[in-house]
Amino acid sequence: MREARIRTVRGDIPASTLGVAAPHEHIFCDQRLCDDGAGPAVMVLRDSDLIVDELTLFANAGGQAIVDATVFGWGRDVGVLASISERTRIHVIACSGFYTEACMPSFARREPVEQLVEFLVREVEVGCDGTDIRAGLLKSGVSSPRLEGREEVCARAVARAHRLTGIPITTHTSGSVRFHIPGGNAGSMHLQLFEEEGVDPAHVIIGHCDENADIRQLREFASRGAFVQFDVVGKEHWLLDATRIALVLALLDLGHERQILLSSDRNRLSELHAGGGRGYDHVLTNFVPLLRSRGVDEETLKLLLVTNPAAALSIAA
Amino acid sequence: MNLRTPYRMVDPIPDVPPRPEPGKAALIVLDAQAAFWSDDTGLFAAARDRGVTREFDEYREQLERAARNLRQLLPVAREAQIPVVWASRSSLGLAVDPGEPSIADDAVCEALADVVDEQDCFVVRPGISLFTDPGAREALASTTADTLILAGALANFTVAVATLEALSLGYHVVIPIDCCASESVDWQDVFRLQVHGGRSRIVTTRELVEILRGSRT
Repeated sequence: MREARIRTVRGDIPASTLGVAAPHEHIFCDQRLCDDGAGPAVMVLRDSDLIVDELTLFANAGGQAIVDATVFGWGRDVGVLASISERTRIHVIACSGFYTEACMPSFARREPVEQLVEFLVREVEVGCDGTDIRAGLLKSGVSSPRLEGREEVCARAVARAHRLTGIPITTHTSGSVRFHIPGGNAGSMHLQLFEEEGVDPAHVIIGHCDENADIRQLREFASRGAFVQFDVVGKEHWLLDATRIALVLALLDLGHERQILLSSDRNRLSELHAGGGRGYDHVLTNFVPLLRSRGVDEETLKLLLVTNPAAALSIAA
Repeated sequence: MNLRTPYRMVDPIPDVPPRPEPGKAALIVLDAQAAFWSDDTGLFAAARDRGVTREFDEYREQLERAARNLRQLLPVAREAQIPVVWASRSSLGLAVDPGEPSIADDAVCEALADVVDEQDCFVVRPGISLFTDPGAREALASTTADTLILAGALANFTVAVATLEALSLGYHVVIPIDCCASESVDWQDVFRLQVHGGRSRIVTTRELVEILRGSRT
């Protein structure tokens, strides 16, 4: 049997060579390109030299791979990602798909789902941003209390592109609607839609599970076979890291050790060391030691940091 | 502004998010009068007297944005058979002081004067609270609304208080966040966090216009 592959910006690699991975970060993005009309754009990272310095700290802490979850429409540049990967020797996985409605490119707000599927398939099979650099993950974003309108159309496009290409799916729920969705995360709605479209939840990463977490909902995601991604680790205005630890331990106790992912969703200068923040290495430098101190053994940590990301990011057969 | 919100994490969520419907909603514009919006009177005059006009720059920018969006929203609301209520205040300060002279001009500010309609309702209340004033309560009751769309300034006081009062009285609340102006950008963030959750819903003007026009499924 052929070994599973992961699509990075420098080509496909065997999944077994991914290494310690952060499956949801931003390393080159520009929220100013979005039009949500409600406040200043702060998610801006455009200095690749600075990012190289920050990712070097990530590498020094043991990091070997990173997903840039920025899609077309708010500042993704796969050429820059490839350059950063080359300079840091870190595997970088680029993302296709669609973010929230306010950040969708104009064609995503009007084209039928078939056109959107074509666009996504081209990004993962041919190349992005006018290059031959391919994306290795498909993203679907929800910013409303219901999966509706253009976000629903785009979610279906993502599902169908996954069915055609095997590229795995990652999801986003906007924090602004976290108090309007039972459980706090649109993952349940996403999984329902994806299953309607014939997607196996084993190829779906439910993102932002640790913004407004409810262990009952996280249990549901895991029981349905999806990956439960704690990807805002360190952002303690959403949830204390201590609470995240408790939730991770609860999921481990329930036997879901093969479905947990960890990342920190860095997306602005203030979150990086240069801006006084905790950097891309916060999970490795600060959160993992906390897990260890709470009795999580090295074998389990390897699952969370290496084996699970490799499985989650693998192209489905 | 990053603030933890543990209470909101366990606040019960309604089955259906608040959505204004014709005959069941009213749009309340709070304190859209010259004293809070215009350069030559009220707040800005007081700031000028004190030499601190510059402190109001972020508030002024938000007012300009709110005015632009209200000019778009109000006609759409009326078309959707949602009545508009202009709720002004007779006092400039936070506290109602019986000895303090009332604001001389409680008419709608110049920036919004041409989107006022003769069918709109006008109430003047003594302080920040919308619901403790009998006149305002009567005006709201006459709209038969169970959902209130709240907008205006100074949002981190008036819209925030109105939202929490409305929720406690059983209303659903929808807040077009970019039709609201707080005293600073940081306070607008705090206001947004304070009013967010449960039976209140924050939207943008664009989203609300689509909802009212029925083009947002």
